[in-house]
Amino acid sequence: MNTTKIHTTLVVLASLVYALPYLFLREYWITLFALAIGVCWLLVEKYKIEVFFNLFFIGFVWLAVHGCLSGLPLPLMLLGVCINLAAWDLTRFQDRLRKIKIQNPEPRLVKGHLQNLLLTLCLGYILALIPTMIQLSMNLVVMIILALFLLFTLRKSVITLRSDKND
Amino acid sequence: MKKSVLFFIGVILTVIIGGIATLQRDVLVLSIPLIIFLFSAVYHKPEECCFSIQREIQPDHGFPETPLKVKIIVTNKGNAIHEIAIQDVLPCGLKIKEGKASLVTALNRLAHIEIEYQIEAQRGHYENFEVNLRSHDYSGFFETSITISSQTLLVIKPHYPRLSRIKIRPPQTRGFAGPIAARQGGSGIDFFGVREYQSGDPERQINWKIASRYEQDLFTNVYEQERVADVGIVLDARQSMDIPGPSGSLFEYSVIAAASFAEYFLNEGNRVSLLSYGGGLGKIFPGYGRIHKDRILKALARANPGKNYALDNLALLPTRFFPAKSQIVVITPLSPQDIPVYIQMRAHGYAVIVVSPDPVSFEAALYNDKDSLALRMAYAERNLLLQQIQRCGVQVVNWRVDQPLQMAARKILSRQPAFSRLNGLTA
Repeated sequence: MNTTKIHTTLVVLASLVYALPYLFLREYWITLFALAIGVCWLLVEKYKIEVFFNLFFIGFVWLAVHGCLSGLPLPLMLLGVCINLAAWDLTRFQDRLRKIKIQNPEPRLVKGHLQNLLLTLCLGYILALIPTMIQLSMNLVVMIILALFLLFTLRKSVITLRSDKND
Repeated sequence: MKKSVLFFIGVILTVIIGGIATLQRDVLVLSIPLIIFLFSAVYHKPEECCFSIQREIQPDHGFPETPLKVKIIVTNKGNAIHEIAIQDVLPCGLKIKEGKASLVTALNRLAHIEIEYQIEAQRGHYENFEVNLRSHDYSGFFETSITISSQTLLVIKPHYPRLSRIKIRPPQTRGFAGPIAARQGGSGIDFFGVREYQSGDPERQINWKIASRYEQDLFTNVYEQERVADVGIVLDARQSMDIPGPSGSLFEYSVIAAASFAEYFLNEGNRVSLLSYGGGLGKIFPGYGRIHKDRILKALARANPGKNYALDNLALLPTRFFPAKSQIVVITPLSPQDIPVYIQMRAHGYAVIVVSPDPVSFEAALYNDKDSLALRMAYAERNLLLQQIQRCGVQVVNWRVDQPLQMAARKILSRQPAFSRLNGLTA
C-alpha cells in the first residue's frame, strides 16, 4: 500500500471538506485559505520539510472550529477533523520512516498502521456524533466534574485493558 | 513525554477551552475524535522491550575490501509491537556496501525478523556491535528505546604486498636448514673456505688448484652452511610517530610493512616474533609456520597507535624479548631521539634493519607541497638522520609510501650485507 498516495488523497479531501461549505457560504477568503493549506501541505510533503505540517494541522482544526461557529453542519466538520487527523498521522509516520532512510516500508506494517488509524477515527467519529442526538442542559461546574470523572474512568479503563492484554 | 504528545494535548485543550468560552456544544464535540485518538495511543503505548539478538558475520575474518555478509536475527520476547525501528550501529571502520542496516516493521510476540546486508571493513579488530531498537505505538506519540550490545568477533587483517629476494645475515642462526648464510663451514652453495683433506670427504670437493701446489697434501673446499634464523619485528605504534591523513594514517603503512616482512620471513622458514610498541607492549612470541603467520596478522589487525608516557621513546624497548644475536626489523618513521637505542641494539649483537615509511613525503603529499623551502629542509634533515643510523651499522630502508615497498626493500636488502658493516666497521 502506498502511504504517499493515501496521504495526498486525505489532504485533498480535507481541503475540499473545508473549502466547499465555505464556498456555499460565500466566504471566499476562507475557501482560499483552506485550499492554500492543502496545496502548501502537499508541497511541503513533496520537498520533505519537517516543521510545517503541525501548522497545517492547526490550520484545519481552526477551520473546523470556525465552521462550527459559522453554523456549518457538525457531521461535516467532524469528518474534516477526522480526515485532517489521519493526514497528520500519516505525515508523521512517513517522517519516522524517512529518518531511518526507509523508502519502501513493509506492507504488514503499513496495513497494521492504517487499520488502527481507521478503527480509531471511525470510533471517534461515531462517539462524537452521539452528543448531537442528545439534548442535555447542565451546569458548567457539573459538566467539569463530569469531564474529570470521564477522564478518570478512561484512564482506569486503559490501565485495565493493558493489564488484560499482558495476561 | 515527547513534544508531539504535548502539542496534541495542547490542541485538544485549546478546542475544549474554545468550546467552553463560546458556549458552543459543536466546538466541544470537535475535541472528541482527538481525545479518542490520544487514548488509543495511550492504550497501544509500547512497554518494556525484551529482545534477543543473534548476529552472524560471514566470513568472520578477511582483508580490507572483502565483502562480508552480516545477518541479524531479532526475536521479540515481549508483547506484540505495532511499530519497531531496528538499526544496526556499525563500529567506526565498517561501511555498508549493499543492503540496509535498518528496518521498520511490526513484530508479534515471539516473532523474529532478519536483516541482511553486506559490508566492507578497514583493517581492525571489531568485537562490540550494537543494535538500536525503538518501538512506537502506531501514532508515534510514545517511544521505548533500547540498545543491545552483542559480542561478535570480526578480524580484518592488513592487506600487504609480497616481498621477494631479501637477504639477511644475523650473527647467529638456528640449527635447521634454511636460506640464511650461517657463517659456518659445512655443506652449502656459497664458497666459505678451504681446509685440509680428511678421509671421507667427497672427491668432487677437493680443491685441485691448491693441491697442485703441494706434493703430499690435499685440500677440500668448505661451503657456507645455510640455516634458518630468528627474526624479531618491532612495530612502532607510538602516537607521536603517527601522521593522520584523509585516506589512512602513516601507521597503516607501518602495519603493511610489518605484515609483508613477517610473511616473507615465515615463508622462508624462519622463526618470527612481533613486538608492537606504543600504547602498550603487544607481544607475539617466536614461532614458525602458517598458523603463526595468522597469529601475527591477527595481532597486526589489532594494532593501533597509542599514547603511553612510559613508552614515549624506544629506550624501554625490551630487546631481551628477542633471541640473542638475532635479526631485528624495526618498522618506524624514525625519530632522532631513538638513535642511541639502535646503537645499543647493535652493541648487544643484534643485526638491525630499519624500515621507515617516509613521514616527510607522506606529509608533503597531504599538503600538496612539491618544492617548498620547508620541504627541502625537512628532506635534508631526514637524510642526515638516515645517514646517522646507517653509520651505526643498521640497514635502513627509506620507503616513500607512494612507491611499492618491494622496490624500496629490494634496493637495500637484495644483497647480503657485508661482514665488516655488520660488525660495526664502516667501509
